[in-house]
Parts: sequence; structure tokens; C-alpha cells
Amino acid sequence: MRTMKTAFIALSLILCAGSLLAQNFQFDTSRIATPPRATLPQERMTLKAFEASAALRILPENEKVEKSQRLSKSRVVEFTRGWRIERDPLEGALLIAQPADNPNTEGTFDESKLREMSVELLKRIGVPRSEIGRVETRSLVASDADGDEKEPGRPQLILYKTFVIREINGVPVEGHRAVVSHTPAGSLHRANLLWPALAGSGHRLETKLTVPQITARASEVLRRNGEQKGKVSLRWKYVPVKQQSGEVALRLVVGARIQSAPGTEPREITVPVD
Amino acid sequence: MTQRIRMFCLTIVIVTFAVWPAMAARETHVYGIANFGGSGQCGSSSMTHPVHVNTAAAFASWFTALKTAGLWEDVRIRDNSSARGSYFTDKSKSGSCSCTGDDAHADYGADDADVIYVHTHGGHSESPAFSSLSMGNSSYDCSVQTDQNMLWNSDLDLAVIKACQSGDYDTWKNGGYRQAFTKQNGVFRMWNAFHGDSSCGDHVTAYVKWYVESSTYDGVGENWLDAAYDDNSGDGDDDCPVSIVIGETHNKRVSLFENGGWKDRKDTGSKTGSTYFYFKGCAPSSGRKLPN
Repeated sequence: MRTMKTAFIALSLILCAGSLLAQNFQFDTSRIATPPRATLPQERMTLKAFEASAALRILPENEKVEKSQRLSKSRVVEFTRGWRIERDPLEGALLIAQPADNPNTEGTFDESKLREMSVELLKRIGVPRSEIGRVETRSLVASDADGDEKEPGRPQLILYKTFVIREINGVPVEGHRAVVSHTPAGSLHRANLLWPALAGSGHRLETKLTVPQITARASEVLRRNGEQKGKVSLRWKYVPVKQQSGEVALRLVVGARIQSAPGTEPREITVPVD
Repeated sequence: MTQRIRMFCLTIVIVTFAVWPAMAARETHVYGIANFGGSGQCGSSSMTHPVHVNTAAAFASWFTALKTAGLWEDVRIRDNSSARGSYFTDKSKSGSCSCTGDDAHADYGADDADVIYVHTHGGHSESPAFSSLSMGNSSYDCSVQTDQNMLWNSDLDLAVIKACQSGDYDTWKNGGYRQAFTKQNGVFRMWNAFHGDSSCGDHVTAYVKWYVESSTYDGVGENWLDAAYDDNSGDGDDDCPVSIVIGETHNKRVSLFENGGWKDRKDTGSKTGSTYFYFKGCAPSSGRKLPN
């Protein structure tokens, strides 16, 4: 009986200490209240998207590969008459660029139309709709200052950049995105993708942890990384785990974003939930 | 006479080899400064972010691949205590900052390379106009400033700086990152950095790798903005990468931003003006919302 009492007191003290330590962080758990679906959509990005034919699908019909060069073990550059294609199936990278003089900066274009055009282009390459998350267009501008001028010139629109974030089951995949660039008149300038193919198996998409268990674990991981206190926003994310083929398996984790002291970078620290 | 000619030739060969490292035409240095607050280190332990060396390694690894392909010559990793303040300080500025100027130190100094990458903590001031970078060795300057320490007048062409506030808009507007750290007849011409604070984590390693691998042929400025921009899932506190290009005319500066790459770091002529490339309306913490 006495042993049980001692054990109970010890356990209470440990829980109390844990809770006090956790109080040094103020967690926003609103984004992890519901766990994401634990299955992947049927249609997935495959290694076929990294074949030259996939890139050629978005170029004019008369564009053919005329020469190629190997830049690394897995990155190949191919030149057509008017375009350059860089493919790296092992890294999941694809770049389609128009080597040209400075882009023509005349005109403006409807941004919602650019978003539609960018998504359509990705689909033609082989990116399934079910992997496309947030789509946002930003204006890349340039401002000049010549000599000792204090007042820079009016910013000039150089390109529209449409950012397409890879999300599966509504969860972003760390680091994966496509950026499609259009000239102010709306013609394609460049498409740059980091969007590796998904593996057929080996994904870890679910967690058995409850929200309090996740915050307790997050506290522990944050402290291990030298953080002591602050507001922390928790979000689901998938971390891609590279396979030998270049495909990736997804692992569900929580990203703990902490607002650090001024003068240090805001950090996002990965919290395992398996 | 023949003996004299032989001696002369030998001297030429010896001198050539002696200065060769400093003259390497395609040389990259990376400086990942992750450890702070320990013995011999700068800053406080709360500044320690292990990922800073991972991003530096990712940057270096692509140049190692290019070297293997015969497209690059030299890659040096100078992390933590090897990233001395003196390696970012020009000799001519030693007097003003009471520090040691050694930026052309062969294989170590930032101005000895053609391309550098730095991942550390940073800050800025609008007037006087400068950005500061935290260094890795307390025996030298622990903080180097773009105005007080830096003058890129030797080899450096392009700098990629992953540090908060390293390319602040108002600092640029007030003359920072211009004549303060480059010479009119110098070769230095691109400073890829951040307006405001920028986030840190494993995602940075992913985007630095993507950026460096995409920029062999062109887009050396443009790809930086593609890779490093982040709207923080729409929550505010954006990551606002910027590219500052120094050169003679708007067209030459845009040409380097768009068409320059590691293989062709386009000459921008006399360094009499600069262009600030950014995303309209980008709104970070520790920096104003960028103008429309």
C-alpha cells in the first residue's frame, strides 16, 4: 500500500513538472485539431513526369531536343531550338526555361487567369489535381537607384510568379512547390518544379497521439533545440523521405513554428508524431 | 644567358603557383554559422541553430558536383569557428572597425571566392545604412557590417546571404549595399538576401539545394526569389527574399538577375547604380511591407 502511495505521489509530481514546463510555451493547436486522412489519393505524381516528353508537352509542337548535357549523376540538360529543359528524376526537379534576352516588360495580365494557366500547365506535365494546394500569384518588380540617388525610381513589373504549393489531403509537403513565371503580357517564361514522384508504398500518414500528447512532445523537442518559451503554432506537414528510385515516401509530422526573440530567425522545428 | 632564362622561367612558375588559389576563376566558399554561446564562439546559446551548417553543405554539394563534371574548380566549407569576422573585413576598413581585415585570405576569405553562401543571424540599421551578420569565432569580430567591414574589391562576384534583414529595403534606399561595399571598377555585382526576418528549419535546406541546382545556366537572382519566398501559409510574417544587383544600367542588371548563372556570371559594367528586385507587397516581421 505504502509503495503504491509513493508511486502515485511520484507520478503526480512528474506530471505536474511536465505541465509547468509545457506552460513556458503557448501553443496554438487549432490547425492540428483534426488529423488528416490516412490514405493517399489514387492519382499520383510518377517518374514519367521527368521524361523529356512530359516537358515537351507544354512547349510549341516544333520544339525538339537538339542536344543534351549531363550536369551531375542525375541532372540532365536538354536544349531545344527556343527552350532549355533540366530534368532530375532522383531529386524530383524539373526546370523549363526560355533562354532569352531580358523579358519584355510591357503590359499587364489578369492574375486569376495566370493561376488557371499555371495549374493547367502542371497538369499537362503530369501533376495530378489532388496534389495541388494553395495557388498564389505575386508580382516580381524591380526598383532602380542610380548614382547617389536617395529616391529610387518607380518599381517596374518584371514577371508574374505563380506559386503552387504541393498539398496532399490538405497537408503541405515540406519543400515541394512549383513556380510558374509569365511575362507581364502573359506568355510563359519559366516553370520550375520541385515535385518528386510519390512511392507506391512506405508512407506513414497517421498518428495515434492526442493533441495534449503532441504538445507535450513538442515542448520536449523545442527544449532539446534550445528554445525555452514563446508562442508556438503547430501544423501538420508531410516530410518527404527519399527512396533509391527518386520517389519519396511521406511521413506525417507536426511543424512547430516558434516566434523567437528579435534578432534570431523564426524557426520551424519538426515534431515526430509516430 | 640560358641559365638566366631558366631562372626567370622557374620564378614565373613559382609565383604562378603561389598566387594560384587566390586567382582561381571558379571558386565557392560557404559559411554555415550554427554554434553560438560556447567557448570561443560568439553570441548566446539561444542563437544556436544546427540547420545553418546543413544549408551550407547543400549549397556546397552542387558546386562539388559541378567540379566533378569539370564545370567548377574549387569549393571550401568554412563553418562555425572557421567563419571569422576577419574573412569578411577588407584591409582598408580595419582602421574604422578596430578589427583585422583578411577578406582576401586564400581559400578562407569571402573576397577570395567568386561565389559565397552564408547562413547566420543578421540585423539592420536604416541610418546609418547597413546590415550586420553574426560570425562564428570570438577571437575576431563577432558581428560584421556591410558598411564598416565589407568592401568587395578582389574576387567576389555573387553573394547569397541567408540571414534575417540582410537586404533591407530602407537600408538599400539610404545607400547601403551600394558604394559602401563595392567599387565602381570592382567585379562584385549581386547580393541575394532578405528584407525583414526569414524563417529557419529543414525547409531551408530543401530550398537552398533547389535554388543552387536550378541556377547553373540562368536565373541566379530570379531563382532565389522563387525558392526562398514564403507567405507562411497566409498567416503573415512573410519570408521576403530580395536580389540586389549592382551595375551600370538597368538592362545589364536585369540581365544578370535573369540570365546570369554559376556558369556565366554576367558582367554588369561599371558599378554606378543598383536594382532592387522583390515581390510587391511582401510583408515580413522586422521590416516594412515592400512598396507597390
